[in-house]
Amino acid sequence: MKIELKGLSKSFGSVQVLKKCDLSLESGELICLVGSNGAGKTTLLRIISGLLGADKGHFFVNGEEWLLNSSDWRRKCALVAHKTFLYQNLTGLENLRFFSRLYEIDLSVAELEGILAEVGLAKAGGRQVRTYSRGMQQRLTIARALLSRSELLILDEAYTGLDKEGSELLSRILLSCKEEGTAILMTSHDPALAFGISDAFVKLNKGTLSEKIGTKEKQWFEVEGLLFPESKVEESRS
Amino acid sequence: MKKWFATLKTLIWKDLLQEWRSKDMLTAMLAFAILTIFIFNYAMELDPRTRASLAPGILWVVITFSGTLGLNRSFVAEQEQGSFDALVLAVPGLGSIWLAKQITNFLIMLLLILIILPIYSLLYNQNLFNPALIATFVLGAWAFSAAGTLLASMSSQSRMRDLLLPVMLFPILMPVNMAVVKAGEGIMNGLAFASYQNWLLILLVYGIIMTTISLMVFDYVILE
Repeated sequence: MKIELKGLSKSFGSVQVLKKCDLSLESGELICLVGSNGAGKTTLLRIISGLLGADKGHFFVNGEEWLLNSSDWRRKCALVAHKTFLYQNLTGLENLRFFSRLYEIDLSVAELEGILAEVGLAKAGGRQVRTYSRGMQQRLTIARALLSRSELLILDEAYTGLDKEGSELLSRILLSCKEEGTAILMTSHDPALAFGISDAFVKLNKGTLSEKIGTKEKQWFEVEGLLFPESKVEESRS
Repeated sequence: MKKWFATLKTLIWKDLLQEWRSKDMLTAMLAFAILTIFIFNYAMELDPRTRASLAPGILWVVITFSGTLGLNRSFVAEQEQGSFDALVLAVPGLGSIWLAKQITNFLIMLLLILIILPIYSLLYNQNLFNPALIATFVLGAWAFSAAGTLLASMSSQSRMRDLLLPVMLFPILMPVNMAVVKAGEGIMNGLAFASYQNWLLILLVYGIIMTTISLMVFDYVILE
């Protein structure tokens, strides 16, 4: 699957958040989106996932134009956002069972418990989510997003709240999703952490999206220099 | 269609289980309803005949006010952790999200009616277990929850939701309020069915229209 965005623009009142953004993403590719706070990363991810309408722009899947806010497209996306999307009064297992039924994936309790074990929550599946720590909720959120086996996985600051072990686990999961052919678009406040698993970086600055900066055969400092040239100049001055 | 109903069933299961565990809506509604019945009981010293004709009106005021409290709470779980977005991503026909909430709200209102009818009967020394009166309240509860759930889904996205919902809801509910009270009055006064059947018809048609409109516009309410 090849996804292409062309000329995507979005304004909130008089504030233009996204200006004619172009982006392409293929199956098995992981792109990390970086940008300062308020740059519009979350807005872009919400538009791509079909949760928010764009003012202008076209969206193509395998060369064919699609409506981003169609339910057919939304069901192809899995989203891990700032909020967990979990039901606090349901147990971890019940949350997974609920979402698997919505996606019409008939998983047995044993299979759901297997998914919980994959994210390190084997013993917590029977507890209500409100008793989970932030990190445990984030692990369950990741499990929920993986349930649907969507073609596009969108992660907005997915490393938030995870400990070292959890971060490593997420990186391993993302690598295995890539190998299975899932296209992944993620944001991270710590691009150095995402460098090891990303195929390319794009930077959102004042509403404009940069060209892709590939990571292949590059060291992190080279990519960092291209992504944040202003901080490199300041560093060399000091 | 089969998949749509399976999704609806799953959503209702989730809403009822959430409510069973948290009792967010029912506690607020019951506490308010019982207090209001007590206040009416002390505030109005009425002769038995006036009591009988006023009973449907008083009860319906109690049901709608407590129902509004419940509606305000009905989208709390979705707001808490933004799970509305997850539902929008996962559910193919968004109308099922609305219908599941509406059915849950309706069932909780029925439970409320079941609990407060005997309390009212005891306090006012009146037998309210009249099948026609109960049917009127059931039709009214469906119409109320149909209009209320749609407006609650709109107001839940606002910071002033507690104020906004009653301001939007009560004017829209005028035909329902009038129909329940008039039909109830006719039933309690022992009038012939023909004299109040039009009010019941209004309730039925209102319920059908509000359910249809809500199913049609819910996508726009959520996505725009």
